[in-house]
Amino acid sequence: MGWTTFMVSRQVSTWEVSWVAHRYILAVDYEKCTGCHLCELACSIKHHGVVNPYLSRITIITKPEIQASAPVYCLQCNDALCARACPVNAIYFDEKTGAWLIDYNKCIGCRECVYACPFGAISLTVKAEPIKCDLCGGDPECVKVCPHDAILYGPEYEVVRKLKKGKAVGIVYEVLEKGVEVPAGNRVKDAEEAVKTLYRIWEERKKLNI
Amino acid sequence: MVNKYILDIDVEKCNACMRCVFACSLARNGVIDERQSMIRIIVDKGIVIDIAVCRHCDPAPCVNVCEFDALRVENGRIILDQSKCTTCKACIAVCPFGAIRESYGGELVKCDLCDGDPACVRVCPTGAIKYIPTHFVKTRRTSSVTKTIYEYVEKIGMR
Repeated sequence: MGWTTFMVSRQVSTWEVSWVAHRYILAVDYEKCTGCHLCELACSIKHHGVVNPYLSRITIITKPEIQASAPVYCLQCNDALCARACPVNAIYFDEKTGAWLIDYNKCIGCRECVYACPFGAISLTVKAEPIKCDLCGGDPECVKVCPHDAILYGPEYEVVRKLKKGKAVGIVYEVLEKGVEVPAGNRVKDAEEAVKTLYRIWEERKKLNI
Repeated sequence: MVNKYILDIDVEKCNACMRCVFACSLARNGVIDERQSMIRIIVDKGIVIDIAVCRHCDPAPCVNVCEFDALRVENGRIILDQSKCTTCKACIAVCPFGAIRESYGGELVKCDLCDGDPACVRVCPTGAIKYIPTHFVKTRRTSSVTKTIYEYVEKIGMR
């Protein structure tokens, strides 16, 4: 490899790294999540106009015995396996929002993306259409409705920093064996506020007449 | 609305015992013959890569490409009409999964889901092929991800 080729490849790679660091991502802190499933309801209202957790893009699977909840959502991979597996190239990258979107005009409903995704983030409707997180066009509703601020949305470096910080605070409290105060940033919203957000999405949806 | 039932395939569970392949040809043609089966297990170096079977796409490329209306959609299934088929093989060329194939007699064969009770599902010993409604697919895939999180929470004992 010559020097020019090396420099060109290096420039491209640095540009890619800087771009990736500044894109917006969605992340769920599963230690804060209480498993109330409000994000699922908000998601299904936003996209389908009905309250049905099966039609939501984000899924929280709870295990009440150990009080654990596992969020399952699209991580918007850099090298997405769903886009690679698609035989008709219906899944494309939207550079505006940083999300992988499905082009339903091209989609043939073969479910290959559902099997390819390692996280189970793509699910199917009753008509066997694949649905995946589109970040609501850059303004996710699940973030607004979450009562414990467990879902974070923002630039990648900020979200990762918040997640790390939250974890570190939790470990400190565990070491001290006190846990008197709630860790920093764990603001608890009112239930009313969450319900209001749901109503707002519902009414916005009504205006669209879909 | 009635749920669409699909053949749900889990390649990781498949151990390539070939029972579904033989059951398919036995149920359809009355002979045990790998060539006349509508389902295929693709194995490379001892690893099961894929189970090639019709996905019953919607809208399907094979239905769009057929000029003689031999392929039709019936209750969410795509069915090949042998009387109209001219074996032009346009559907073989357009199918991304290799699900339509040519048998010994020269006629094309294709999965028709055995009218709602697939023989391959009945004989599968490991549960790699299931005939389930569409929304159960999500539940199966997510189980592997949640396992690690549950283990972590049990160990650390957060919250």
